Amino acid sequence: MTGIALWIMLGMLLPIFAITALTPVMTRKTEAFGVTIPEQEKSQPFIAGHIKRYMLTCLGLGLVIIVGLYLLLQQDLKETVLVWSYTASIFIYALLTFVAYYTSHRAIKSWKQQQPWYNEQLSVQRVVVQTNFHQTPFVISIAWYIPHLLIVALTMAFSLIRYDDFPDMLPMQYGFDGEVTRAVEKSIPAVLMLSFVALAVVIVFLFVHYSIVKAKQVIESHDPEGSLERNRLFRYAWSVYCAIAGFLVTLLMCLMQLSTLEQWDPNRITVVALVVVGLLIIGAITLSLKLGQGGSRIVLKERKNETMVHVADHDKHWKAGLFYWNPNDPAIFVEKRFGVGWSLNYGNPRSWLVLLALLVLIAIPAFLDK
Amino acid sequence: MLLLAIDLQSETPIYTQIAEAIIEGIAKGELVKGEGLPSVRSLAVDLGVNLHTVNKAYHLLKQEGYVQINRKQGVIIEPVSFPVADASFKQRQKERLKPIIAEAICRGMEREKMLELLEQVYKELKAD
Repeated sequence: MTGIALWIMLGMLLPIFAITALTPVMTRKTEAFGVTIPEQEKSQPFIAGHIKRYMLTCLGLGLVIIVGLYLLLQQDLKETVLVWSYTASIFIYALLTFVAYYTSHRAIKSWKQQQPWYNEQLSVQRVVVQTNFHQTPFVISIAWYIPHLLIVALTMAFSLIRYDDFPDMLPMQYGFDGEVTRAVEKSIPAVLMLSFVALAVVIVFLFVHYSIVKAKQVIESHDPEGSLERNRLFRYAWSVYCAIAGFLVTLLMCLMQLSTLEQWDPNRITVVALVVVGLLIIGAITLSLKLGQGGSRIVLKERKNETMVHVADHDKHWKAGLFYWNPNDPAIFVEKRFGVGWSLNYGNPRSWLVLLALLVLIAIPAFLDK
Repeated sequence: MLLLAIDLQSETPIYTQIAEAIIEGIAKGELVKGEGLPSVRSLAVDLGVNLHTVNKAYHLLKQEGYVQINRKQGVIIEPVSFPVADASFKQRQKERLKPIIAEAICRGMEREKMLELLEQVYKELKAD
Protein backbone atom coordinates (compact mmCIF):
# COMPACT_ATOMS: atom_id res chain seq x y z
CA MET A 1 0.00 0.00 0.00
CA THR A 2 1.41 3.37 -0.95
CA GLY A 3 0.38 6.97 -1.39
CA ILE A 4 -2.38 8.82 0.39
CA ALA A 5 -4.02 5.78 1.98
CA LEU A 6 -0.77 4.93 3.77
CA TRP A 7 -0.34 8.42 5.13
CA ILE A 8 -3.98 8.54 6.24
CA MET A 9 -3.56 5.26 8.10
CA LEU A 10 -0.42 6.48 9.84
CA GLY A 11 -1.82 9.99 10.36
CA MET A 12 -4.82 8.63 12.25
CA LEU A 13 -2.46 7.23 14.87
CA LEU A 14 -0.98 10.65 15.68
CA PRO A 15 -3.98 12.02 17.63
CA ILE A 16 -4.26 8.75 19.60
CA PHE A 17 -0.58 8.98 20.53
CA ALA A 18 -0.79 12.71 21.24
CA ILE A 19 -3.81 12.40 23.57
CA THR A 20 -2.23 9.48 25.45
CA ALA A 21 1.08 11.31 25.95
CA LEU A 22 -0.60 14.56 27.00
CA THR A 23 -3.04 13.02 29.51
CA PRO A 24 -0.98 13.71 32.69
CA VAL A 25 -0.94 17.44 31.97
CA MET A 26 -4.66 17.54 31.16
CA THR A 27 -5.76 16.07 34.50
CA ARG A 28 -6.60 18.15 37.54
CA LYS A 29 -3.73 19.59 39.58
CA THR A 30 -5.05 17.56 42.49
CA GLU A 31 -4.55 14.27 40.66
CA ALA A 32 -1.38 12.51 39.59
CA PHE A 33 -1.72 9.15 37.83
CA GLY A 34 -5.07 8.51 39.53
CA VAL A 35 -3.85 9.43 43.02
CA THR A 36 -5.17 12.48 44.87
CA ILE A 37 -2.40 14.86 45.92
CA PRO A 38 -2.31 18.39 47.33
CA GLU A 39 -2.33 20.89 44.48
CA GLN A 40 1.18 22.25 45.09
CA GLU A 41 2.72 18.75 44.92
CA LYS A 42 2.09 18.28 41.22
CA SER A 43 4.96 20.57 40.22
CA GLN A 44 7.38 19.00 42.73
CA PRO A 45 10.33 17.07 41.19
CA PHE A 46 9.03 13.62 42.15
CA ILE A 47 5.66 13.95 40.40
CA ALA A 48 7.04 16.10 37.58
CA GLY A 49 9.67 13.41 36.93
CA HIS A 50 6.99 10.73 36.63
CA ILE A 51 4.98 12.88 34.24
CA LYS A 52 8.04 13.52 32.10
CA ARG A 53 9.00 9.84 32.03
CA TYR A 54 5.46 8.81 31.08
CA MET A 55 5.25 11.37 28.29
CA LEU A 56 8.64 10.37 26.87
CA THR A 57 7.69 6.68 27.03
CA CYS A 58 4.45 7.34 25.14
CA LEU A 59 6.16 9.49 22.51
CA GLY A 60 9.01 6.97 22.05
CA LEU A 61 6.60 4.06 21.70
CA GLY A 62 4.51 6.04 19.24
CA LEU A 63 7.54 6.80 17.13
CA VAL A 64 8.64 3.14 17.08
CA ILE A 65 5.15 2.02 16.04
CA ILE A 66 4.81 4.63 13.29
CA VAL A 67 8.24 3.82 11.80
CA GLY A 68 7.58 0.08 12.13
CA LEU A 69 4.17 0.31 10.48
CA TYR A 70 5.54 2.57 7.75
CA LEU A 71 8.13 -0.03 6.82
CA LEU A 72 5.60 -2.85 7.06
CA LEU A 73 2.91 -1.11 5.02
CA GLN A 74 5.37 -0.56 2.18
CA GLN A 75 5.76 -4.30 1.75
CA ASP A 76 3.47 -5.99 -0.70
CA LEU A 77 1.32 -7.77 1.87
CA LYS A 78 -2.27 -8.93 1.87
CA GLU A 79 -4.82 -6.39 3.07
CA THR A 80 -5.94 -8.60 5.98
CA VAL A 81 -2.34 -8.85 7.20
CA LEU A 82 -2.06 -5.08 7.06
CA VAL A 83 -5.32 -4.55 8.96
CA TRP A 84 -4.28 -7.05 11.60
CA SER A 85 -0.83 -5.59 12.16
CA TYR A 86 -2.33 -2.09 12.30
CA THR A 87 -4.93 -3.13 14.90
CA ALA A 88 -2.38 -5.18 16.84
CA SER A 89 0.03 -2.25 17.08
CA ILE A 90 -2.71 -0.06 18.56
CA PHE A 91 -3.42 -2.75 21.17
CA ILE A 92 0.27 -3.14 21.96
CA TYR A 93 0.56 0.63 22.32
CA ALA A 94 -2.42 0.70 24.69
CA LEU A 95 -1.03 -2.16 26.75
CA LEU A 96 2.49 -0.75 27.08
CA THR A 97 1.31 2.78 27.91
CA PHE A 98 -0.99 1.25 30.53
CA VAL A 99 2.02 -0.53 32.07
CA ALA A 100 3.87 2.82 32.13
CA TYR A 101 0.82 4.48 33.73
CA TYR A 102 0.34 1.76 36.32
CA THR A 103 4.02 1.78 37.33
CA SER A 104 3.79 5.50 38.08
CA HIS A 105 0.40 5.04 39.78
CA ARG A 106 1.87 2.47 42.19
CA ALA A 107 4.99 4.52 42.83
CA ILE A 108 3.01 7.67 43.63
CA LYS A 109 0.57 5.76 45.82
CA SER A 110 3.35 4.44 48.07
CA TRP A 111 5.20 7.78 47.95
CA LYS A 112 2.02 9.49 49.17
CA GLN A 113 1.90 7.35 52.31
CA GLN A 114 5.33 8.62 53.37
CA GLN A 115 4.48 12.30 53.01
CA PRO A 116 4.05 14.50 56.10
CA TRP A 117 0.60 15.61 54.91
CA TYR A 118 -0.63 12.04 54.43
CA ASN A 119 -1.93 11.35 57.94
CA GLU A 120 -3.75 14.62 58.03
CA GLN A 121 -5.50 13.80 54.80
CA LEU A 122 -6.33 10.30 55.92
CA SER A 123 -8.16 11.61 58.97
CA VAL A 124 -10.33 13.84 56.84
CA GLN A 125 -13.36 11.95 55.60
CA ARG A 126 -15.32 15.01 54.70
CA VAL A 127 -17.44 15.32 51.62
CA VAL A 128 -18.28 18.86 50.58
CA VAL A 129 -20.91 19.87 48.02
CA GLN A 130 -22.42 23.10 46.82
CA THR A 131 -26.19 23.11 47.27
CA ASN A 132 -27.03 25.20 44.19
CA PHE A 133 -24.61 23.56 41.75
CA HIS A 134 -27.35 21.94 39.69
CA GLN A 135 -29.90 24.74 40.10
CA THR A 136 -28.65 26.99 37.32
CA PRO A 137 -28.25 25.15 34.01
CA PHE A 138 -24.64 24.85 32.87
CA VAL A 139 -25.12 23.10 29.53
CA ILE A 140 -26.71 24.21 26.28
CA SER A 141 -30.38 23.44 25.74
CA ILE A 142 -31.27 20.00 24.51
CA ALA A 143 -33.26 21.78 21.78
CA TRP A 144 -29.94 22.19 19.92
CA TYR A 145 -30.33 18.54 18.97
CA ILE A 146 -33.50 19.21 16.97
CA PRO A 147 -31.51 20.03 13.77
CA HIS A 148 -29.76 16.67 14.06
CA LEU A 149 -33.06 14.81 14.18
CA LEU A 150 -34.50 16.95 11.39
CA ILE A 151 -31.62 16.10 9.06
CA VAL A 152 -32.06 12.38 9.72
CA ALA A 153 -35.82 12.57 9.21
CA LEU A 154 -35.43 14.57 5.98
CA THR A 155 -32.78 12.21 4.64
CA MET A 156 -35.00 9.21 5.41
CA ALA A 157 -38.03 10.81 3.77
CA PHE A 158 -36.03 11.91 0.72
CA SER A 159 -34.48 8.45 0.32
CA LEU A 160 -37.87 6.76 0.50
CA ILE A 161 -39.39 9.13 -2.05
CA ARG A 162 -36.47 8.53 -4.42
CA TYR A 163 -36.24 4.82 -3.56
CA ASP A 164 -36.56 3.76 -7.20
CA ASP A 165 -33.55 5.86 -8.22
CA PHE A 166 -31.13 4.02 -5.91
CA PRO A 167 -28.89 1.51 -7.75
CA ASP A 168 -29.89 -2.17 -7.54
CA MET A 169 -26.74 -3.08 -5.66
CA LEU A 170 -25.84 -0.90 -2.68
CA PRO A 171 -22.19 -0.57 -1.62
CA MET A 172 -21.73 -1.46 2.05
CA GLN A 173 -17.99 -1.53 2.51
CA TYR A 174 -15.01 0.03 0.79
CA GLY A 175 -11.43 -1.22 0.66
CA PHE A 176 -8.29 0.86 1.15
CA ASP A 177 -8.25 1.85 -2.50
CA GLY A 178 -11.84 3.06 -2.51
CA GLU A 179 -13.26 0.13 -4.46
CA VAL A 180 -16.42 -1.57 -3.22
CA THR A 181 -15.57 -4.75 -1.32
CA ARG A 182 -19.10 -5.65 -0.32
CA ALA A 183 -22.49 -4.78 -1.78
CA VAL A 184 -26.04 -5.88 -0.98
CA GLU A 185 -29.22 -6.03 -2.97
CA LYS A 186 -31.49 -3.03 -2.70
CA SER A 187 -34.09 -3.09 0.08
CA ILE A 188 -35.66 -0.46 2.31
CA PRO A 189 -33.47 -1.30 5.35
CA ALA A 190 -30.36 -1.30 3.16
CA VAL A 191 -31.23 2.08 1.63
CA LEU A 192 -31.93 3.61 5.05
CA MET A 193 -29.02 1.87 6.75
CA LEU A 194 -26.88 4.99 7.23
CA SER A 195 -29.87 7.01 8.50
CA PHE A 196 -30.28 4.44 11.25
CA VAL A 197 -26.59 4.74 12.06
CA ALA A 198 -27.03 8.53 12.11
CA LEU A 199 -29.98 8.15 14.48
CA ALA A 200 -27.87 5.95 16.75
CA VAL A 201 -25.15 8.63 16.65
CA VAL A 202 -27.65 11.30 17.73
CA ILE A 203 -28.84 9.08 20.60
CA VAL A 204 -25.25 8.48 21.73
CA PHE A 205 -24.53 12.23 21.73
CA LEU A 206 -27.77 12.94 23.61
CA PHE A 207 -26.67 10.35 26.13
CA VAL A 208 -23.30 12.08 26.54
CA HIS A 209 -25.14 15.40 26.97
CA TYR A 210 -27.26 13.79 29.69
CA SER A 211 -24.18 12.43 31.45
CA ILE A 212 -22.60 15.92 31.42
CA VAL A 213 -25.73 17.23 33.17
CA LYS A 214 -25.91 14.43 35.72
CA ALA A 215 -22.25 13.85 36.58
CA LYS A 216 -21.34 14.15 40.23
CA GLN A 217 -19.79 17.44 41.33
CA VAL A 218 -16.11 17.47 42.23
CA ILE A 219 -14.95 20.08 44.70
CA GLU A 220 -11.29 20.97 45.13
CA SER A 221 -9.78 21.75 48.55
CA HIS A 222 -8.24 24.95 47.36
CA ASP A 223 -10.77 27.60 46.32
CA PRO A 224 -13.79 25.26 46.31
CA GLU A 225 -16.21 27.76 44.81
CA GLY A 226 -13.78 28.72 42.07
CA SER A 227 -13.27 25.06 41.20
CA LEU A 228 -17.02 24.62 40.75
CA GLU A 229 -17.27 27.75 38.63
CA ARG A 230 -14.51 26.42 36.37
CA ASN A 231 -16.34 23.09 36.25
CA ARG A 232 -19.53 24.79 35.05
CA LEU A 233 -17.61 26.45 32.19
CA PHE A 234 -15.99 23.11 31.40
CA ARG A 235 -19.32 21.30 31.20
CA TYR A 236 -20.80 24.07 29.09
CA ALA A 237 -17.93 23.96 26.59
CA TRP A 238 -18.14 20.18 26.21
CA SER A 239 -21.92 20.24 25.79
CA VAL A 240 -21.42 22.70 22.91
CA TYR A 241 -18.69 20.47 21.47
CA CYS A 242 -20.99 17.42 21.64
CA ALA A 243 -23.82 19.19 19.85
CA ILE A 244 -21.47 20.37 17.05
CA ALA A 245 -19.68 17.01 16.79
CA GLY A 246 -23.02 15.18 16.75
CA PHE A 247 -24.28 17.48 14.02
CA LEU A 248 -21.21 17.01 11.81
CA VAL A 249 -21.24 13.22 12.16
CA THR A 250 -24.99 13.07 11.49
CA LEU A 251 -24.55 15.24 8.44
CA LEU A 252 -21.72 13.04 7.20
CA MET A 253 -23.81 9.85 7.55
CA CYS A 254 -26.71 11.45 5.69
CA LEU A 255 -24.42 12.69 2.91
CA MET A 256 -22.98 9.19 2.57
CA GLN A 257 -26.47 7.75 2.19
CA LEU A 258 -27.36 10.31 -0.47
CA SER A 259 -24.06 9.82 -2.26
CA THR A 260 -25.18 6.34 -3.31
CA LEU A 261 -28.31 7.86 -4.78
CA GLU A 262 -26.60 10.77 -6.52
CA GLN A 263 -23.61 8.66 -7.60
CA TRP A 264 -21.12 11.09 -6.04
CA ASP A 265 -17.45 10.30 -6.29
CA PRO A 266 -16.59 8.04 -3.28
CA ASN A 267 -13.18 9.72 -3.03
CA ARG A 268 -14.83 13.05 -2.47
CA ILE A 269 -16.93 11.60 0.37
CA THR A 270 -13.75 10.13 1.87
CA VAL A 271 -12.16 13.58 1.83
CA VAL A 272 -15.25 15.07 3.54
CA ALA A 273 -15.15 12.28 6.14
CA LEU A 274 -11.47 12.88 6.85
CA VAL A 275 -12.03 16.62 7.21
CA VAL A 276 -14.89 16.02 9.66
CA VAL A 277 -12.89 13.51 11.73
CA GLY A 278 -9.84 15.80 11.64
CA LEU A 279 -11.87 18.79 12.85
CA LEU A 280 -13.43 16.80 15.68
CA ILE A 281 -10.06 15.50 16.87
CA ILE A 282 -8.39 18.92 16.68
CA GLY A 283 -11.36 20.41 18.53
CA ALA A 284 -11.24 17.76 21.25
CA ILE A 285 -7.49 18.11 21.80
CA THR A 286 -7.68 21.92 21.84
CA LEU A 287 -10.56 21.90 24.35
CA SER A 288 -8.79 19.35 26.55
CA LEU A 289 -5.57 21.34 26.63
CA LYS A 290 -7.21 24.73 27.07
CA LEU A 291 -9.71 23.75 29.74
CA GLY A 292 -8.00 20.77 31.38
CA GLN A 293 -9.97 18.03 33.10
CA GLY A 294 -12.94 19.45 35.01
CA GLY A 295 -11.93 22.96 33.89
CA SER A 296 -8.76 22.86 35.99
CA ARG A 297 -6.73 24.83 33.46
CA ILE A 298 -9.24 27.68 33.21
CA VAL A 299 -8.04 30.92 34.81
CA LEU A 300 -10.96 32.80 36.30
CA LYS A 301 -10.93 36.57 36.32
CA GLU A 302 -11.65 38.41 39.54
CA ARG A 303 -11.25 35.54 41.95
CA LYS A 304 -10.75 36.84 45.44
CA ASN A 305 -11.04 35.65 49.05
CA GLU A 306 -10.06 32.14 48.12
CA THR A 307 -11.00 29.72 50.87
CA MET A 308 -9.75 26.29 51.78
CA VAL A 309 -11.74 23.21 52.78
CA HIS A 310 -10.41 19.76 53.50
CA VAL A 311 -12.05 17.01 51.49
CA ALA A 312 -11.77 13.23 51.49
CA ASP A 313 -9.49 11.86 48.77
CA HIS A 314 -11.67 8.85 47.71
CA ASP A 315 -8.51 7.03 46.54
CA LYS A 316 -9.77 3.71 47.87
CA HIS A 317 -12.76 3.82 45.51
CA TRP A 318 -10.56 4.36 42.44
CA LYS A 319 -9.29 0.96 41.38
CA ALA A 320 -5.89 1.35 39.69
CA GLY A 321 -6.75 5.05 39.70
CA LEU A 322 -8.88 4.44 36.62
CA PHE A 323 -12.13 2.75 37.64
CA TYR A 324 -14.50 4.20 40.21
CA TRP A 325 -16.05 1.43 42.28
CA ASN A 326 -18.32 2.56 45.10
CA PRO A 327 -21.46 0.48 45.64
CA ASN A 328 -22.65 2.92 48.34
CA ASP A 329 -22.66 5.83 45.91
CA PRO A 330 -25.90 6.22 43.90
CA ALA A 331 -23.97 8.17 41.22
CA ILE A 332 -23.69 6.65 37.76
CA PHE A 333 -21.58 9.30 36.01
CA VAL A 334 -18.36 10.47 37.61
CA GLU A 335 -15.51 12.64 36.39
CA LYS A 336 -12.51 10.64 35.17
CA ARG A 337 -9.29 10.93 37.11
CA PHE A 338 -6.71 10.09 34.45
CA GLY A 339 -8.07 11.62 31.27
CA VAL A 340 -10.63 14.16 30.16
CA GLY A 341 -14.35 13.60 30.39
CA TRP A 342 -16.58 11.32 32.42
CA SER A 343 -16.68 7.68 33.38
CA LEU A 344 -19.03 5.35 35.24
CA ASN A 345 -19.38 4.19 38.82
CA TYR A 346 -18.82 0.51 38.10
CA GLY A 347 -19.93 -0.38 41.62
CA ASN A 348 -23.46 0.68 40.71
CA PRO A 349 -25.47 -1.98 38.81
CA ARG A 350 -27.26 0.81 36.92
CA SER A 351 -23.96 1.70 35.25
CA TRP A 352 -23.79 -1.77 33.75
CA LEU A 353 -27.34 -1.37 32.43
CA VAL A 354 -26.22 1.89 30.81
CA LEU A 355 -23.26 0.12 29.19
CA LEU A 356 -25.49 -2.70 28.00
CA ALA A 357 -27.98 -0.25 26.50
CA LEU A 358 -25.18 1.50 24.60
CA LEU A 359 -23.82 -1.79 23.30
CA VAL A 360 -27.27 -2.85 22.09
CA LEU A 361 -27.72 0.52 20.38
CA ILE A 362 -24.41 0.16 18.55
CA ALA A 363 -25.18 -3.46 17.66
CA ILE A 364 -28.59 -2.67 16.08
CA PRO A 365 -27.18 -1.25 12.79
CA ALA A 366 -24.84 -4.24 12.55
CA PHE A 367 -27.85 -6.58 12.86
CA LEU A 368 -29.85 -4.64 10.29
CA ASP A 369 -26.90 -5.05 7.98
CA LYS A 370 -27.08 -8.84 8.13
CA MET B 1 -25.63 29.13 48.42
CA LEU B 2 -24.14 26.77 50.89
CA LEU B 3 -21.11 24.54 50.92
CA LEU B 4 -22.55 21.53 52.67
CA ALA B 5 -19.97 19.37 54.42
CA ILE B 6 -20.53 15.98 55.99
CA ASP B 7 -18.11 13.72 57.80
CA LEU B 8 -18.41 10.09 56.72
CA GLN B 9 -16.47 8.93 59.76
CA SER B 10 -18.50 10.82 62.37
CA GLU B 11 -20.65 9.14 65.03
CA THR B 12 -23.46 11.55 64.19
CA PRO B 13 -25.72 9.96 61.57
CA ILE B 14 -25.35 11.46 58.09
CA TYR B 15 -29.00 12.54 57.85
CA THR B 16 -28.60 14.51 61.09
CA GLN B 17 -25.45 16.12 59.72
CA ILE B 18 -27.24 17.16 56.53
CA ALA B 19 -30.21 18.61 58.44
CA GLU B 20 -27.96 20.46 60.89
CA ALA B 21 -25.79 21.85 58.09
CA ILE B 22 -28.88 23.22 56.33
CA ILE B 23 -30.22 24.82 59.53
CA GLU B 24 -26.78 26.33 60.09
CA GLY B 25 -26.81 27.63 56.52
CA ILE B 26 -30.16 29.32 57.18
CA ALA B 27 -28.89 30.88 60.44
CA LYS B 28 -25.80 32.21 58.70
CA GLY B 29 -27.85 33.62 55.84
CA GLU B 30 -26.13 31.37 53.30
CA LEU B 31 -29.50 29.86 52.49
CA VAL B 32 -32.32 32.36 52.09
CA LYS B 33 -36.09 32.02 52.33
CA GLY B 34 -37.55 30.34 49.27
CA GLU B 35 -34.16 29.18 47.98
CA GLY B 36 -34.20 25.87 46.16
CA LEU B 37 -32.34 22.88 47.53
CA PRO B 38 -31.05 20.08 45.31
CA SER B 39 -33.39 17.17 44.61
CA VAL B 40 -33.00 14.08 46.77
CA ARG B 41 -31.25 12.16 44.00
CA SER B 42 -28.99 15.03 43.00
CA LEU B 43 -27.78 15.67 46.56
CA ALA B 44 -27.35 11.94 47.21
CA VAL B 45 -25.26 11.61 44.02
CA ASP B 46 -23.07 14.61 44.85
CA LEU B 47 -22.51 13.47 48.43
CA GLY B 48 -22.16 9.83 47.47
CA VAL B 49 -24.70 8.68 50.07
CA ASN B 50 -27.89 6.64 49.98
CA LEU B 51 -31.04 8.32 48.65
CA HIS B 52 -32.93 7.35 51.83
CA THR B 53 -30.40 9.28 53.91
CA VAL B 54 -31.08 12.53 52.07
CA ASN B 55 -34.81 11.84 52.06
CA LYS B 56 -34.74 11.36 55.80
CA ALA B 57 -32.85 14.64 56.30
CA TYR B 58 -35.35 16.56 54.15
CA HIS B 59 -38.33 15.07 55.97
CA LEU B 60 -36.80 15.93 59.30
CA LEU B 61 -36.36 19.52 58.12
CA LYS B 62 -39.91 19.60 56.83
CA GLN B 63 -41.24 18.31 60.13
CA GLU B 64 -39.34 21.04 61.98
CA GLY B 65 -40.68 23.66 59.58
CA TYR B 66 -37.45 24.68 57.85
CA VAL B 67 -38.23 23.46 54.35
CA GLN B 68 -41.22 22.80 52.12
CA ILE B 69 -41.42 19.82 49.81
CA ASN B 70 -43.52 20.49 46.74
CA ARG B 71 -44.19 18.30 43.79
CA LYS B 72 -43.39 21.08 41.33
CA GLN B 73 -40.62 23.16 42.83
CA GLY B 74 -38.96 20.32 44.70
CA VAL B 75 -37.44 21.12 48.06
CA ILE B 76 -37.24 24.79 49.03
CA ILE B 77 -36.30 26.68 52.19
CA GLU B 78 -39.50 27.74 54.00
CA PRO B 79 -40.45 30.87 52.00
CA VAL B 80 -42.59 32.79 54.52
CA SER B 81 -41.59 32.34 58.13
CA PHE B 82 -39.82 29.84 60.28
CA PRO B 83 -41.51 28.37 63.34
CA VAL B 84 -41.15 30.53 66.44
CA ALA B 85 -39.27 29.68 69.62
CA ASP B 86 -42.32 28.80 71.69
CA ALA B 87 -42.50 27.19 75.11
CA SER B 88 -42.18 23.64 73.85
CA PHE B 89 -39.16 24.59 71.72
CA LYS B 90 -37.51 26.24 74.72
CA GLN B 91 -38.21 23.16 76.81
CA ARG B 92 -36.55 20.99 74.17
CA GLN B 93 -33.52 23.29 73.87
CA LYS B 94 -33.16 23.12 77.62
CA GLU B 95 -33.06 19.35 77.51
CA ARG B 96 -30.52 19.45 74.69
CA LEU B 97 -28.27 21.88 76.59
CA LYS B 98 -28.24 19.78 79.74
CA PRO B 99 -25.54 17.27 78.77
CA ILE B 100 -23.41 20.04 77.27
CA ILE B 101 -23.49 22.15 80.44
CA ALA B 102 -23.16 19.11 82.68
CA GLU B 103 -19.96 18.14 80.95
CA ALA B 104 -18.60 21.66 81.25
CA ILE B 105 -19.35 21.66 85.00
CA CYS B 106 -17.58 18.33 85.44
CA ARG B 107 -14.52 19.82 83.83
CA GLY B 108 -14.65 22.83 86.09
CA MET B 109 -15.69 25.34 83.49
CA GLU B 110 -16.99 28.54 85.03
CA ARG B 111 -20.32 30.15 84.25
CA GLU B 112 -18.69 33.21 82.64
CA LYS B 113 -16.52 31.05 80.38
CA MET B 114 -19.60 29.10 79.36
CA LEU B 115 -21.49 32.29 78.52
CA GLU B 116 -18.47 33.61 76.63
CA LEU B 117 -18.47 30.47 74.52
CA LEU B 118 -22.19 30.78 73.88
CA GLU B 119 -21.73 34.40 72.83
CA GLN B 120 -18.91 33.42 70.46
CA VAL B 121 -20.90 30.66 68.75
CA TYR B 122 -23.95 32.91 68.49
CA LYS B 123 -21.91 35.63 66.77
CA GLU B 124 -20.47 33.08 64.36
CA LEU B 125 -23.86 31.80 63.35
CA LYS B 126 -26.07 34.89 63.41
CA ALA B 127 -26.50 36.44 59.98
CA ASP B 128 -25.88 40.20 59.75
